[in-house]
Amino acid sequence: MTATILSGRSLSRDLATGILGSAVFGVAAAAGHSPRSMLQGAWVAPALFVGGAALATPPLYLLGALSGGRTSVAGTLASTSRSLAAASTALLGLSAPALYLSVTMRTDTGQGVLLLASVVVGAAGIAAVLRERLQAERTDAARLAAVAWCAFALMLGARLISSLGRTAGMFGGA
Amino acid sequence: MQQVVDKLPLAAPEEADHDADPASPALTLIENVIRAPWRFLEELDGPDLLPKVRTLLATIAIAAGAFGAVVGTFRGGVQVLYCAVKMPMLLLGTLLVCVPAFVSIARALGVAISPRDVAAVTLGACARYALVLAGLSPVVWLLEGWLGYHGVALVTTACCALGGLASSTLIFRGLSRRGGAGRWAGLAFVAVYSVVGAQTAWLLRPFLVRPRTEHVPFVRHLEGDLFGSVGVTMRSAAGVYERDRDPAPAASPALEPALPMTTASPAEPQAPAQTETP
Repeated sequence: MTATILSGRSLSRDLATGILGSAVFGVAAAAGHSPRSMLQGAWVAPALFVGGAALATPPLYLLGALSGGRTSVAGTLASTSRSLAAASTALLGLSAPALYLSVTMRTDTGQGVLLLASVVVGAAGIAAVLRERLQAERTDAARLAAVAWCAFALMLGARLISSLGRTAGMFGGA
Repeated sequence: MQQVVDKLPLAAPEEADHDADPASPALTLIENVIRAPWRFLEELDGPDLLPKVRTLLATIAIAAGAFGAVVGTFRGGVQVLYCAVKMPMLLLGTLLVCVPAFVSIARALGVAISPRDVAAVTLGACARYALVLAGLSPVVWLLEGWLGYHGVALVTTACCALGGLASSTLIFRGLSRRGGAGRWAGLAFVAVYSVVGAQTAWLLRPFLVRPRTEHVPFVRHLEGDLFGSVGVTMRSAAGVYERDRDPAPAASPALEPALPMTTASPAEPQAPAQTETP
């Protein structure tokens, strides 16, 4: 019971870090454009990172379970939430350069650089989950499933960026 | 006992040497930054970090200022002063913007390094960058007499690349000894510093200015970015000129075209004479 509570607290803390870090980055990355863009950034970036993590977690567990993997639901949740928290911590720190670049580089290139930073951080988060799974799993089938999940997660991220970019705009862009 | 007594005079001169050179701790620190980065990193682990930070800041101000002054001599006059001020601003300003990102990246990647040590290591790397630039400044000065604008721009860029490489090795060494994904963190540090530094250099331009330029501003107004300018440069190098933005190539070497990466806006008709590279 105690372990469950601690795990729940840890999950909440990771989730809060995920939302806060990505929201601050989103606001900073759109600061050079308009207040409206900053508001959009405040929800678009969490939607990308926290939403992406939420969408990628069920397939991660499912693929592991069907391929004879060892990781439980709690382990899967802990793995993705830890990775989300780490990525958001990096984003929180990157907010300072993002603010600087957004204010001084009001060009398409500026948005491209900030988007690239988000993609790299997101990909690093996915790679961290993959590495953890590869270390934890014992069978080739489970490891193969983890690699397949990695490819899926990358494609999911690309899809999310595309959708969010079309509907709300990324970091002040159209 | 007698043997111990016999050894005493041997130790005395060493102590005398240290006493005769009160500035040695600062000089030793600076020498270690260049010659023995591992020893410099060990020194950072010790107490009394503040005097070391002061020494590093002074090193950056003087060494980068010297390199900037040499770059400024290509045009001469007030540009020498401008560049001497702007070069330390470039290094320290970039570091200031990047340190929060460095701390968070190190934490996210599980590198066991405190924010204080992140700041100290990256400040040391900046000092190494500045010292390499200062060491190469006589080479730049020598070549300024032989090469034209484009040649000096290339030499300056090469010096900056060499300085960047030297400082990167210190960062990698400092992070890899802390465990975790130290190398990846180092790679991220270098990437973030490069992008922010490139933009800061763009904001603080002009650095290299043609000698016949009459008026040189301290900084230009905010327009475009370095990366877009590099694209224009590459197109121009391939012979594709954008007439609205780039001046046409001139026949005389004395009127050679502006570096496209430093294209001026139409509001600046004297663009060929006011080009520069960051």
